[in-house]
Amino acid sequence: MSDSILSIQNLSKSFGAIRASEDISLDLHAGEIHALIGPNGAGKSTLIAQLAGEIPQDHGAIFLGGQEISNLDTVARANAGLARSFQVSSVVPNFSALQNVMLAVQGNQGRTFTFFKPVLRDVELVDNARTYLQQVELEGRANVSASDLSHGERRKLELAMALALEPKVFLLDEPMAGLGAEGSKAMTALLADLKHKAPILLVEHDMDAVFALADRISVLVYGRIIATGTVEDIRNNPDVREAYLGSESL
Amino acid sequence: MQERHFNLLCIFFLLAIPIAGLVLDEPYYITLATKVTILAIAGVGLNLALGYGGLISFGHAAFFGVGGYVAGIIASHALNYDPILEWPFLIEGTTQMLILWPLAIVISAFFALIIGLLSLRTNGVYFIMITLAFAQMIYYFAISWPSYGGEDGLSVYLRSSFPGLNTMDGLTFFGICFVWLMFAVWLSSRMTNSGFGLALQASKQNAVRVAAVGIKPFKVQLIAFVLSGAITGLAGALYTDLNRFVSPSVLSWHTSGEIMIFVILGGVARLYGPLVGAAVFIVLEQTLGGVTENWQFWLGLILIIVVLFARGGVIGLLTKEVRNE
Repeated sequence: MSDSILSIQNLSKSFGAIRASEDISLDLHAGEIHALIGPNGAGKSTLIAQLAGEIPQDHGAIFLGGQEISNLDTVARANAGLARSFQVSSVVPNFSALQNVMLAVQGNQGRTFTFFKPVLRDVELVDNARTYLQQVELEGRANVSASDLSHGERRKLELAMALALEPKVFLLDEPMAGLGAEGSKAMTALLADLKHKAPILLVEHDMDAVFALADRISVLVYGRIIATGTVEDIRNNPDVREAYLGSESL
Repeated sequence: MQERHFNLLCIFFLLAIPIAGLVLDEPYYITLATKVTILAIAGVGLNLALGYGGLISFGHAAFFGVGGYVAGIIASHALNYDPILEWPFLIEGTTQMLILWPLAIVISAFFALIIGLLSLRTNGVYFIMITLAFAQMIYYFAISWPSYGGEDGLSVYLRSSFPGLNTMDGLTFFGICFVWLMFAVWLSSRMTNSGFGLALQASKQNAVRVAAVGIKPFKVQLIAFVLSGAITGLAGALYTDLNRFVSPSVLSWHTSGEIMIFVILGGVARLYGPLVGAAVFIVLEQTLGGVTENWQFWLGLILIIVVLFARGGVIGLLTKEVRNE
């Protein structure tokens, strides 16, 4: 499809006898949130790790903006426009929120190898980083050490770092994990905005959030995608009910 | 006290001691202050890798020793009127510091590049061990290489020269070393506050995150390791000139350990930590060493106390600036 930004084709990965990903194909269109759901152990995190370049695939290919990125490492994929958040928040703990975002801005602009200019006095870089903190409503916490931020704030900080990469695609691994009802609502609002910057592949357990946000949903069970469709399609799909939702009604 | 003020105080004391030596006609004070200065430069080098980069190198003696031997070997050729190489082209030795320094820096940086390329593939305890192993290899090579004194070391009977200065004068040589120390501190301050420094300190804490924003932690750490080795190598060259002698002991793991002690004692990732650490070390060696042969027992005790109760080292203890290290 012409407007598909991220395209995964026949991706497979086995660990010994366990098939973590089996012939997975899906794509992400401009401006959409494509949610990936599935029971625990379905292979969602493995898929994210493969997309991010941490686990090499056995077969298949990944295309980002029409370019194959299957054989690039993590760093090269980030530079190609893939921004990810981690299932367990991953920030630089002793850095302030601002410094964390500055690191990401620097990574995006390829300005890491400047040795003499004091980075905190680089007005352009600092302002740039502040803008991203503003977009996730963290500007008031800019100078707080990341290790002192609340869990929810750290989630937002990760989002700001992803934004700072000005990516082609967001890869978000359970951004709602551990957030309370309030936090989830705030995050849902942020993500609804975020998709206009770049499409989102969203792995999430919070069904309320998924149904509120997703334009399309793929259901992953035992490493295979058993259905892809709109929220309505997925709600009414008997296989999905059988395999994933069980007797629980939606 | 603020760390900035404490640092100024350190510089003041470092300058006051050789001047006191001059006034009191105790040239030994000048020698001690010069030794502290040179060891502090070695520490500033290690601090870049260990303190800011989290790269716990137990092999910095390699760079200190290589720098020292580069200076010693080239100078000894000049003093003996014995060319280093006659064929296919003539390379003569020299006693010009302005030539010896860049060579010591470049060659120790080259060693750091090779050792870093191989060692940085590991981390944690393996990194400590592999850097130690490389340094020990060079140590045993120096011992078994008879051309330059082998185990007995290599004497350089004249200190190398600097245009317009009498380097044999203790105070002048101290001045040269002091300028180098200030330059090394300035350099490390600029670098750790730069964009590169941000990435280096981030790589120490969360390399996966650094990779995820599109920066190669390996590349950042390798550059830091090479710069670190180069600075420590320069200190080695100065040390040869101070002692007018270089022996394999500068390459031994004791030296690596001592440079590490300077950094930890003074305060890891503190700009002036290595200077304070080296000063405390030399003062203890001079005072306790006069009382008991086993003064290192007390050094060990102090080190344990610092590590357990004063993670910021002496600087962390004496200044109020709190940091999470």
